[in-house]
Amino acid sequence: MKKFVNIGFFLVIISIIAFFLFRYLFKPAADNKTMRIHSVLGADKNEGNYTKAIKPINFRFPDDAGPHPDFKSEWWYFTGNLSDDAGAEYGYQFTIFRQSILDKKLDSSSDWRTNQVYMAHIAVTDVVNDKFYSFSKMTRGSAGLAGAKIKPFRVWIENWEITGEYNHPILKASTRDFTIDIQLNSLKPIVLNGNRGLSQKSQGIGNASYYYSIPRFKTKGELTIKKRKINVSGESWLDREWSTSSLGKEEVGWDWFSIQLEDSREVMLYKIRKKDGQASTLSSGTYIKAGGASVHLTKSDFTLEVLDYWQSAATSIKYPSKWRIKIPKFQIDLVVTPKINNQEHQLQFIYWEGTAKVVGDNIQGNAYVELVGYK
Amino acid sequence: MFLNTRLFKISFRYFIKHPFQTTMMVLGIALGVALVVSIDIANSSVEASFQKSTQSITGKATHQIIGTYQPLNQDIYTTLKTKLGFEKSAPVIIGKTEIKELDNKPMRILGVDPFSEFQFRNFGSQDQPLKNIKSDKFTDLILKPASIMISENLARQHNIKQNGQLTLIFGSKEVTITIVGFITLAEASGENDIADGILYMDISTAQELLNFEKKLSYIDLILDSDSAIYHEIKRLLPNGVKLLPTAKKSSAIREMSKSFEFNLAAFSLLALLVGLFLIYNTVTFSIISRRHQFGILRALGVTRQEVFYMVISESLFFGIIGTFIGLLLGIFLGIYTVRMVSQTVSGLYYFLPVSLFNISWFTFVKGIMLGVLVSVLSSLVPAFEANQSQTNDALLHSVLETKMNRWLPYFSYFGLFLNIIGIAILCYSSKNVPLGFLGTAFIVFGFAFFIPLLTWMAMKVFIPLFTPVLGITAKMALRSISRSLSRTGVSIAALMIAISVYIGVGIMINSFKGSLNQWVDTHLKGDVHIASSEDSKNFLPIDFIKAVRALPMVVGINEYQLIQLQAGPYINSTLFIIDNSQPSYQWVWKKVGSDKLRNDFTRDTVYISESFAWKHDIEENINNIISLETPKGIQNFKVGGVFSDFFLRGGRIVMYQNVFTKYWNESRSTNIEVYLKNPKQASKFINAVKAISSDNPLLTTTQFEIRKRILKAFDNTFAITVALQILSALVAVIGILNTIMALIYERFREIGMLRANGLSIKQLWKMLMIESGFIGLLSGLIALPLGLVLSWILIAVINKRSFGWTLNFSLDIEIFINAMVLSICAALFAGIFPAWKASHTPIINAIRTE
Repeated sequence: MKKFVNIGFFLVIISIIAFFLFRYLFKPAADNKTMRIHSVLGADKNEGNYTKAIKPINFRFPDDAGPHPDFKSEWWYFTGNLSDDAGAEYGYQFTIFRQSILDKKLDSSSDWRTNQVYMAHIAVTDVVNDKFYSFSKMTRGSAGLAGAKIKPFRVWIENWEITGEYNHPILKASTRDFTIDIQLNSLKPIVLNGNRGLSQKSQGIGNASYYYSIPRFKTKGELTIKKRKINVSGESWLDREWSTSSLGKEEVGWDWFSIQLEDSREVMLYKIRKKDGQASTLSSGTYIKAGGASVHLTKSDFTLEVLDYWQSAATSIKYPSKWRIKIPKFQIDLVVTPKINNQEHQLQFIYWEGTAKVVGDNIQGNAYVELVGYK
Repeated sequence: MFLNTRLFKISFRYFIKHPFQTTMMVLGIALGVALVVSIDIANSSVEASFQKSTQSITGKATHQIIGTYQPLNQDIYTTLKTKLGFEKSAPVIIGKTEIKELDNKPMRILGVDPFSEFQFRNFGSQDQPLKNIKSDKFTDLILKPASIMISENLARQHNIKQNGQLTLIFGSKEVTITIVGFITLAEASGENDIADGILYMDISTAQELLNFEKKLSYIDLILDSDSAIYHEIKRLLPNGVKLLPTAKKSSAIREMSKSFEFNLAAFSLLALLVGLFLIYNTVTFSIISRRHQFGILRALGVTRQEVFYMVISESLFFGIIGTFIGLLLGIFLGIYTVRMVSQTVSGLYYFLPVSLFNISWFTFVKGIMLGVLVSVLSSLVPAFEANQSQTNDALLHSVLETKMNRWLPYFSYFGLFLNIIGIAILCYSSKNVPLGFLGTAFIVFGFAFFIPLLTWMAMKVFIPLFTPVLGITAKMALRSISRSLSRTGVSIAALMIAISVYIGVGIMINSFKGSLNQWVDTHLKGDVHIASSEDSKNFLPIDFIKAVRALPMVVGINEYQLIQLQAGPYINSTLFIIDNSQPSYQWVWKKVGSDKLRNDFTRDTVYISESFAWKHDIEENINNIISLETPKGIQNFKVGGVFSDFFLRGGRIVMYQNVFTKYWNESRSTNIEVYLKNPKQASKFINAVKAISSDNPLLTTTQFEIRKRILKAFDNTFAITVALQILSALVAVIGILNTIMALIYERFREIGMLRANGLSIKQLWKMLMIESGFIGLLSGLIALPLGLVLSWILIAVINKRSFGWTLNFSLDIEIFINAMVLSICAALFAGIFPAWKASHTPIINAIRTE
């Protein structure tokens, strides 16, 4: 049994980060890895002296575009729908995660000593060719290898980086299969999700994150897929979130949607799924008007109906693959369909995140969908 | 085989009845084989320790980015990652330390970045990146200072538990570390795991412990030399920083100790060759004592061929037994030789974090082949002698001796021929070490063929010289030596070779020690030496040097910098940068440029050690140029002189500080030597240094300690040589014992007749003792010139070729006296048993057949 307790460090780090995104990715005690994860991330874990998201704060910019090392974890989450001159569609995901693995800063004569770990996932969907490429990186947030800075604005992990200004960022990354080099210009002001930016994720004080979005950027630049250079333009979405603890014991995953409608309105919503298959009462969203004003949506404001399923050949995991979203309050009735089915990240941990098409009565749009915690 | 069982039984019975001879024969072959095997085990163990420990550190890396002169700036790694995004790269810091609690066990420090590791070292796979690691609190490794992992095997041996603490010694600094996990590398060997000598830690911990801020030892890479990224990376590197295949680097390190190991192997072969003489003697003796029996066998219809095979089979049989005993003995001896050789290699050439005991099948094959071959070869002549057996056996020996006398000149011609070949090999094999040994062997054996002639001549001189003094018995004894040249010749040759080896090696060691002492005297000037760390990879803080200078007990300071070159054509050589205000180093010049040049600090001049010059063929032309890649590009430096040096590790290039600063823009020092008002205050001074050095892991050593350490390191080397020397002498003594027994046995009837005619027991003893003593004397005398020649060859050819050293030839009369005493005593000792036996044989038995 002793052997089982000794799983590698990487798994631990990954799982600490994964905790926020993928709290119950594994069934309890299903296998060795899970045992380890639960021994580290058990509900009775000591959250240490990290700052928690307890009450609404005044967001300040550009400071809040930078890192919040007092919180345990944080991310810069860009997704976007692009197309080339010929009209071929592409989706991209550009995500950098920050994670503290100790609740205090470390003094050292060595530049390498740190309590900060960075991880990134980037992906490109080539809709016409029905291809999905995804890569990840993880490294320590020290010795200049990865980090986040406000002035000049830069969030990076090795040669994947976000520069420019927080509302006019430039995203650059290169991988074996593709490169991304795009410039984003915000078309909408910052939107605070939840209660003035405080987003409650599960019962209990502090089980929340600070969460803001920039729901629409005009996006222009270049993708290279398998050495083929493509001029692209389109729209992007940014989610910024930082927290110390969020999900509780009962939650197993979530379905998250960011929808950009052609009439300049946006919708963000997520369903937190519980063990029993029910949606958590804390599932919520944000409705953003064309002018930029936003309205918080609670669980009772929307319905989410699954219309179809898709099973991954690689992992045998069955994901929902078509939804009907209704927000009666704003006369919204949309069908969301992934542009291609296989947008499953098969990295250290497995989830589905991809570009989707939105169709409603007399209205269309694009979306990005994230499906976490399916087995 | 070619022998029928009945004949084998006959010969076997003889050996059962003569346990002493049988034992000697088996022992002779066993000792020789044991030596060869044990040295071979030691060498292959060093090879295995080196390969395994290198592999455990290099892992899957194909290339390394390494600074030629200085540790790498860590920014190179950051750039590699952030500009090129090159994933298959990992930063590495290596260092050395000792664990106080484990009797100062030396350990390799390996500082790595766990985030980049799984692709490189054997910690696990991508799925389970650290599956070879056991730890409850692995994150401590990167979060907590002084958190370290050790091998699970080492922990078990010393009962070290998780969260246990150990003390590491870094010069004057001691650091308490915590064990946060254990590692097991699969390829364990016996009781060792290749991870045993390694302290695994996070790169930040390594920087803290070794004061290695902002620096890396090197960067590991996995890449293809043909790939585009290879060239991209190369373009990224500043001058003096190199992208090298890992194999190139490790083979350059491995190369350093090869000469040393080869020398050991050659000496062990020598011991086996002395063993060859021993078997020859024993087999001959057995044949002589059975001449009667062979006569009877021949009379009964046994063919000559059968007699021949019978003798060969006997020696083969006992040779095989001896070989197997030798193998076992060799393994046993190996435990000792492995330790000695690993220690020497670790002390003089490169650090071996583990000492594995490795026996390859090839060692056994070698041992068996050599043992069997030597036993068959050495019995060929006696077997031929046996098949000549006539029914009238009494004739045989005298016939042989007559032939011998006729052959005398031809023997000498043949000896001369061998000598000429030997000299030719030595002259025309330039730097080749194995050929150097081959040439030496030819000369030694050539010399052996002069023995019959020399003996015959010596007796011509001795008989008239000693007869008046020692009487008629002496005359009889001496006559018998020259009369039985076919026996005594071989015996004298065997003893002579052993004694000449004793002399040659003795003079070599003596010369070496003399030269080394002189070198230490001229090069170790300061009373106390302070190094920034064991490998001098750090600079001494300028404030610290100032503070030392200001201490009241200090008279003066010499600053210098030691850089072991990590890449380029002079890889592993040491660049030694000295203060130009102190040109007073007393170099012993071997070849010197003009004095003007030598004292001109402004020119781009370097001075090189002779081993460096030898290795890079710079010796012949003093106005040579060497090129070094400086941060300002490739620069030529004039060679101002070649000096005598015993600094190992690829030799030295000496450069004045101002020249170095001009191109490297670096004027700090890694080492200082301090002159004290009163050298006896060294320990007081060291305490004062500790007080001002605060956190620096300095290495302070008094001149006395350094001297002791250097001499001890070399002593270790010689301990093995001396052991070989003694063992070959032992083999020779056993050989001489057999010969004298053979001689006396052959004269059994003669002695019986003499006794019957009134020779007293006392006279018999006197006669036999004089005979043995003169054999010893003669061997010793002939060994003197050969020993001298041998020592000259060892010094001027073998050492020069192996290590590039020129030793001052230093003759010590004591070696000659010892050699003579050894030679005579060995022979006298060998004569005791035969004389005792002869004197106890009833006369009637001896002359029964008359």
